[in-house]
Amino acid sequence: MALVTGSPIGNLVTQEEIYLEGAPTLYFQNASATPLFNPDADGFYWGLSGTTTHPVYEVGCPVDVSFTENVTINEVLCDNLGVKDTTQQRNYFEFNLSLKALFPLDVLSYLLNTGTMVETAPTQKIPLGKINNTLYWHVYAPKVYDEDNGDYVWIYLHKCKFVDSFTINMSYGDAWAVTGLKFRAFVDATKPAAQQFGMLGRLDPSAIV
Amino acid sequence: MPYGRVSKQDILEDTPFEFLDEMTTPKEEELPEPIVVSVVLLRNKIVKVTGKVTERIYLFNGAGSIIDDVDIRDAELLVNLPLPPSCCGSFPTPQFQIIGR
Repeated sequence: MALVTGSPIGNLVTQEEIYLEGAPTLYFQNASATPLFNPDADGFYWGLSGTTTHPVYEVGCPVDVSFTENVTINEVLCDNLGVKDTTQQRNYFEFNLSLKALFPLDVLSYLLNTGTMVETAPTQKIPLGKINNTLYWHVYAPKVYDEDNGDYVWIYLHKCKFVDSFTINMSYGDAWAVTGLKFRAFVDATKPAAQQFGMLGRLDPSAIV
Repeated sequence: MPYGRVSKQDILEDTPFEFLDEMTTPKEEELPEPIVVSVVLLRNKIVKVTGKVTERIYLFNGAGSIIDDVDIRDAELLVNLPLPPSCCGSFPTPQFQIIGR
């Protein structure tokens, strides 16, 4: 590109003509289970492998999914000069979502922080009581962006909890929706400091060579 | 009765009385033992399920809970219970698994 456009000269990196669309698939598993890669060849801890005692659960029909973080920010304010710097500390990451598939109730019981489901055919019952604050989850969110070539990105979080209060919307003519769900990812002190919350990955053999 | 064939009635009539009971009623020790297997629950829930064949009630308490003496006829029906259709593309695994005899 000619310099007349204002482009800089020298070493330059541009972004790719690839756009992601839609929500990832969301899976969660009890944080007591070891990740599938524990770690992988590059030292990253990620992936889920369902076991007998710790099955992997899929969040059914998620809508309005977003991924965000919470950061404490303080300005370094000098009274004689003004703001010289800003200090930041990351507190947690968070998935926000709603979902429309409510069954089976055992999966919903975790999302709503209720007690263990009891099943006696043909009924399922979940107790609505106190919240178990000792229950943590791995969360894995892969998103395939090229179905033909199997290219995908994924987010993996080590130690999450369902936080905040939910709302179940029961609108006439519309599917019931559980809104206000949040997977909040906390620091996992057993993991390397650089990936104490989790990781973000991409697999694309045609672009990453 | 065609030539060469013997009816059950003929046998019963020709058999001395003291042996009849042995022929018609198997001894208790000769009854086949029910084949039992170990079954594990793969979901984290409390499940009370009634065996379709024996009508025995099995109580599983959470993921990984094992019952060691499930009649194999009940067990085979348990592991083949139909699963409801999945909403979003993934394929669920069965709720029960036979893990040994």
